[in-house]
Amino acid sequence: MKKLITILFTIIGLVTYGQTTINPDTVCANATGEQYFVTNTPTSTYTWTITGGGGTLQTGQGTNSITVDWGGVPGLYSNAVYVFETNSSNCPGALVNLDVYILQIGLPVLGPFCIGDPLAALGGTPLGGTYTGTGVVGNDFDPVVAGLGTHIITYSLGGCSTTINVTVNSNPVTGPIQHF
Amino acid sequence: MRFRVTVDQTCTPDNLSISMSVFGDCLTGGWSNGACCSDPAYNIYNGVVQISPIITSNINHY
Repeated sequence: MKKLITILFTIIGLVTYGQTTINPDTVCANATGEQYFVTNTPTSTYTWTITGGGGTLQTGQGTNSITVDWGGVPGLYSNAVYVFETNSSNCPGALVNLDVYILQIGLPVLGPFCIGDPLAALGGTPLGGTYTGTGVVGNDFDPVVAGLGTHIITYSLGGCSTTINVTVNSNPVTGPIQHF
Repeated sequence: MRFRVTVDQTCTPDNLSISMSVFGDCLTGGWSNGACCSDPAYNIYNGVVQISPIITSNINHY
């Protein structure tokens, strides 16, 4: 969905402003194949550099569009992506930079629960994301609402998401007390 | 008298103006009269190297 929205904004943005990516750009930790581009001048070549964030340039050096694999250490990396253009006369243009924020989200293991257990906080990090899945009530998991079984709980923030499985078990059924 | 100016490719705008100056010995003729003491330089060519600015768009992320 994030990609779809970004592409739509890209199309609209390029027509109007030529810029769609807000600086700093947010990427998920260990994201692969992330594509970056500048508007192409066919007679120019483009020299890209990736610094920090554990990023490595995968494809596209020399062209206006590259792919990058990012590392897993969260944080803000200034000028993590920069490019300069060289025209057909071999003249260089000015550097264009983009800061990158690597977002690492987490969701701790939860459960297992017994049916009837009270609500438990889900505890996703960093704060500010949204939880989805059966049994989610606000920022908590409710075993009663969820019911028996294993439920997939997803925590999403800034286009990144992670999931856990939460199990709710049945309570034992004890028979009546007998008197021999 | 002819001049031919050839310039290398350059990434910066340069002044290519050509002018001719006379020595002010006040003995020989100038461009328009017999006294050249105050004759200004004669401009032959005005021109500069014109370069197209390289404007790279901001970096976008799909």
